[in-house]
Amino acid sequence: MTPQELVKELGRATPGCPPEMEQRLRLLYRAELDQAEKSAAASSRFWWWPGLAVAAAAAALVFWAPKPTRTPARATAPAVLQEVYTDFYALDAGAVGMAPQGTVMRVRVPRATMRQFGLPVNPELLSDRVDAEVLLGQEGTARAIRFVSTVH
Amino acid sequence: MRDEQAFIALYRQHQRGLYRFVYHMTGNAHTAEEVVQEAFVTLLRKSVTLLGKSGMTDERAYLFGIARNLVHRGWESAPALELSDEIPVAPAVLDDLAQAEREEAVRVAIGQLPQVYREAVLLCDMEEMSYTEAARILKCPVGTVRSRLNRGRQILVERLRSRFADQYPLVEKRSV
Repeated sequence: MTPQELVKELGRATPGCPPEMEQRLRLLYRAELDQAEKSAAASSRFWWWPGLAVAAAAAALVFWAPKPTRTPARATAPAVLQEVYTDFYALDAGAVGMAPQGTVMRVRVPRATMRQFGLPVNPELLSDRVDAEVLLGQEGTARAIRFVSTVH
Repeated sequence: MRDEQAFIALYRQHQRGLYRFVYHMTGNAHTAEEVVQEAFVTLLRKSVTLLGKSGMTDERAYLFGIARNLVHRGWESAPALELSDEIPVAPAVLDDLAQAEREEAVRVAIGQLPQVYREAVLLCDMEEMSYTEAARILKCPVGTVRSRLNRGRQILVERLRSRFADQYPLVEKRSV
């Protein structure tokens, strides 16, 4: 016999993997496929991320890029003012607990008036005047007052 | 590779040759099992990554290449080759004790070959691969495969002749 024939004979006599290996590989196959599908699903959910990243980078470039020097224009954007109100405070005992309905009249009163209703006031500003709305009853008498403050 | 049956068919087609190669490279049945499993799992991961793309045209060379790498890595951590006591012979050959004895002698002789010659002998003689295919797996020129194979066969002949010369006169063939 030649060495090649002896080696081939040995090869024929050498068994392969045990039978349980096939089942093991089936399980591994399913696990791998499951994992691959999950990964594919996850990446497809975020398909728009690269586009978003490019857009963000472009926006950052536009924002941060050095701009030509020029005289800065004065900011002329109108400030947005907003009025805030305190609750209505009764001006006479009969108005306590009543629904605030009737005519409202805008007035300016000393800030010290707010103190009479227990509202905090900076002592240095007691003489200042603040806006207030007075609720008038049907007979024209002042029934309640609320204070108005303007904020940006 | 979305078809489990195709994967298993591939396993059935190549598992025996792959197992044989690793077993005779390492002399250890347990290592051979582990390497075969790892090689197929690697192939599976690769093919899942390459879904819908070309590639994977030569699964045998790919599997043997992976197995060889794994065996080499094992050698780096445990360079001494240990031949296990268990002899994986098919039950039928146990009837022929003379044949079993001969196979055992060949197995030991192959196990004692230097690694580079052993690879060439196993791939070309046991698995009957072409020089080209073996060269792809061994990552060397075809001429190198040829010379390693010739040298491996020579060593085998020398080692086996002393033992079997009286019963099985060996005829040495040289590849051209």
